Amino acid sequence: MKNWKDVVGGGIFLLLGLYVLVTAKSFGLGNAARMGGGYYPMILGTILMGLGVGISLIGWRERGGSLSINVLPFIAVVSGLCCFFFLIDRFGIIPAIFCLIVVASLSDLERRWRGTAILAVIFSVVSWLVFSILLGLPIVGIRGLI
Amino acid sequence: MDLFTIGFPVALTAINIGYCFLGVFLGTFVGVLPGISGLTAVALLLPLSYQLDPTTAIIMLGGLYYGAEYGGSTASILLNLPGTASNAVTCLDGYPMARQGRAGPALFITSIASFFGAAIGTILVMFLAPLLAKFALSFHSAEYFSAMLLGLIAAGTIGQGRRIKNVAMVVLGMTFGMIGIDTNTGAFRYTFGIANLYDGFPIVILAMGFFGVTEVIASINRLKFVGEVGDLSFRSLMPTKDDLRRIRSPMIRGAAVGSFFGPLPGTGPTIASFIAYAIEKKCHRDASKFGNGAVEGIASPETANNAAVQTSFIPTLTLGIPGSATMAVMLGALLVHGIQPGPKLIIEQPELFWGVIASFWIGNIFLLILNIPFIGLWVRILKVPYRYLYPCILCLICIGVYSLNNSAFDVGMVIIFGILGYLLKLMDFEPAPMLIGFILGPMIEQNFRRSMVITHGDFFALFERPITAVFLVLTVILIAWMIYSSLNEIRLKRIS
Repeated sequence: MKNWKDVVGGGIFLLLGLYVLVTAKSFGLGNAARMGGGYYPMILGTILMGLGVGISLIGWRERGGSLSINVLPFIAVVSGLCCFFFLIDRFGIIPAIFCLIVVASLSDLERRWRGTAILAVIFSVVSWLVFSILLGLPIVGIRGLI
Repeated sequence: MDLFTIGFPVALTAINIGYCFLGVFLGTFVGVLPGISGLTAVALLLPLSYQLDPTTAIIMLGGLYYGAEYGGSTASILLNLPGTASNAVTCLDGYPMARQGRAGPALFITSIASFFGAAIGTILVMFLAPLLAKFALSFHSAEYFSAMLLGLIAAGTIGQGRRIKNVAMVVLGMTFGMIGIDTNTGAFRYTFGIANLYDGFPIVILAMGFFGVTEVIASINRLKFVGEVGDLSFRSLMPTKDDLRRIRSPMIRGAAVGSFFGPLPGTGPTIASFIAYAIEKKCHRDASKFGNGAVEGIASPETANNAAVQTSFIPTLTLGIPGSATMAVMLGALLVHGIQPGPKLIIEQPELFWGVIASFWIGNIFLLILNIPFIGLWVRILKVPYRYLYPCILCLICIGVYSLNNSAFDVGMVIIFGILGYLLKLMDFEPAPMLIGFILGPMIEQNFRRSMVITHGDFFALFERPITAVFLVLTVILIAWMIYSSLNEIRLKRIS
């Protein structure tokens, strides 16, 4: 068994380094005494590639650990954050926070709907009161209403 | 003494006392709660600190940082769950003490040890920071470049986890730091034509994604609070005379270890606490007591992590080189206020420097009060289930980031960094070195460019400057050590 975590991880760094190195040229390389915008990215890209190769090689030669993904929370948290991202400008802070809390709470194994609903209502209204009214940030509560 | 003539008058104004208390109070709060680190808390409060005077902002954020070290031991002792990473080692002897019905004395001892460590650390900041600043006044771009390079490599090689991966994370942070318009040439680097990226992005976004979101995802359904927390009356807290005698020298050793590792870049309080525990175990005649509720085993690491937190302010305030990932975030706060920490800070902004140090004393006294007579309050907070807590943390992340520029784009970046951070964490890449790389990357590029202009592009001419040469040689030694130990690890694994 190889340590695929390191092999893949190193591969990601290798590709990123390659990308940085290739694009560096377009910023103008210049020379060491008069560096262009691309000189420093060129160095970083090269180092990233070297490190990526090194990490992959080490992973290739040793035994691997197992991957343990917290799948449900990962999906729920990311979806919840996406709710906020899409709702905040279109509908305001109250719906955005409400959906964020409800969706993110889906990941909890012992779902308690009443508790979650109460938390979502209270937290969305309180954050509107604190941030929009008290601190005066230019965030609307519910677009078109408050 | 500047501390008394300049520092305390600043720190003792009502507003600064208020924010100092807010900082240490919230610091203890997040420290007590497992699953949310001091760094996330500092990042959460950064948007608020933009409204404040820079001195007040650093007083509050600093309080948050060292306050979390006090609170962290509570969960370690009572629940066998570290409140923050640097209190993990306290579980080893703290939890057995609680099982033996000695939770009270354990909590008392960790608070006393924390205060002792913080006091020693603060004294060292008072005396060493001005000395280091005076020394660094002669620094030019070449010295800065080499000192920062050493700091970056140290951040990667000394930290936890595999060294080569940490170095890769440092370079990843430097790569993120390039995003935006290059100030020297006006080139748009890695902006992908997105106007929001023209000025780069603040470190808060990176910290929220890689720490806040990632921590939440990793903790849900995995943090189980088990066990009954007994009642803690003030009398039950009192340690025995024997306890007090036994913790004396461990505290001194812990303070020494913490003060040594605190200012080194990349070695924060966590490493200091683990090393302090290991040393304590070696120093003691009867090592079998450790792990079974030895007071030495909680006193020494708790002193060390607090000493390390305070002394990590030395390189941050005098050189602008962060001593830990949390300090990197705080450095970001100073930069937003237009303050570039460096050797001139003490001379040009004595109110800031001495005011912050004076606030350490005030904050630590607050913490002593919060953590001994009011310990029952924090124990009650431990009973709040994580399933109600993490949605609130996520909300605060979203609102905090959104309020930076009133743009959902920033929230989107946090989501992307959160996903990336979690995937990297699964592959055992530590995020802390990346933050140090992110904050130092742009500075290192500037200083590298300037010194190369002076030497007409000859890199080896840098070795003609004695201080630069020392830093560069140390950097080379660290890199060589990293390569050697990586190769060694592979060889050992293959034999076994």
